[in-house]
Amino acid sequence: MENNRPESRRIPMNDLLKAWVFLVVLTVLGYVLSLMHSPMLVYVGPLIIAALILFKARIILTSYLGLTRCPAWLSMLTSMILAITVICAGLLTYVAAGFL
Amino acid sequence: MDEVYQNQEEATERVYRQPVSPWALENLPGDPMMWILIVSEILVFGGALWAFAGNELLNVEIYREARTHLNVPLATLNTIVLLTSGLFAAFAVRFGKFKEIGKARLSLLGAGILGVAFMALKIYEYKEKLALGLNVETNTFYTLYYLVTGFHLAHVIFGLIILGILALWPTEDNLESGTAFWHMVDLIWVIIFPIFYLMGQGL
Repeated sequence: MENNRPESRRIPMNDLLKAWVFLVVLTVLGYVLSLMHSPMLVYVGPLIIAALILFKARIILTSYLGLTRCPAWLSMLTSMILAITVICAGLLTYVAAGFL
Repeated sequence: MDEVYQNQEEATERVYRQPVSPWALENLPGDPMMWILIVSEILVFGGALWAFAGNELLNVEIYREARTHLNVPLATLNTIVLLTSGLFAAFAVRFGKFKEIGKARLSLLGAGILGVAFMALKIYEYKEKLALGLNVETNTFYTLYYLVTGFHLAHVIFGLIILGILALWPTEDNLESGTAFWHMVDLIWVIIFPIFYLMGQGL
């Protein structure tokens, strides 16, 4: 019984640590991508960055904010972020690709 | 051991009811009003980011030149600092659920220190820009840059005050509501950073 004192409890943190590692990896990936210079990236780069934003936002919403138990709210917030990033990526690609 | 832990978890975690609607507010972590705030903040920042991206259509050369002065490595480091701060805030909620108040407070302290580090790096970045003569009136790019990142910084300061209040009254509900605000600050930066600093660089 002594071993069950609150001080000796193992509190699971692995899910949070995994989420943090993913977030850091995706952030560094975005930075590395910004260092690359390829004509192809002018067209697909902003969309890749938009995808990275979406992945990171989903991780924060599910792991940090715990929205998995409210799927409708999770979908709504994801859709809002998707709309923001896709429109920004579209506009920036339009300019960068020289369509203007 | 795992069984013991599972029983403890069941005993300590808040019981969530089966919602009557997928939109029910009752199962949201923390105070539902915080979620109304989170949605409105995302809409406000989203509008500002659309304005930023839309303005590039009118100021192509200005944007291209302005981007060369952005400190991308520093902003990347700042993003990692803020994400780590969010991790500590999430730790605080987890400790709070298990009534480990001391550890929850310690995690909030960690989140707060990293929040201050984010602020310090951001102020350093502003100083760097101002030294180059890039201020809020320089051009549209920098007007929106200072407006959006400055408004976000104001949220960081407000979030730090909330973390301080949470450390004084770390109940489970308070922790969920207060850290939801901090994660919202995190979430908004995760959107701002790539749109301002990464998209349009060569991407």
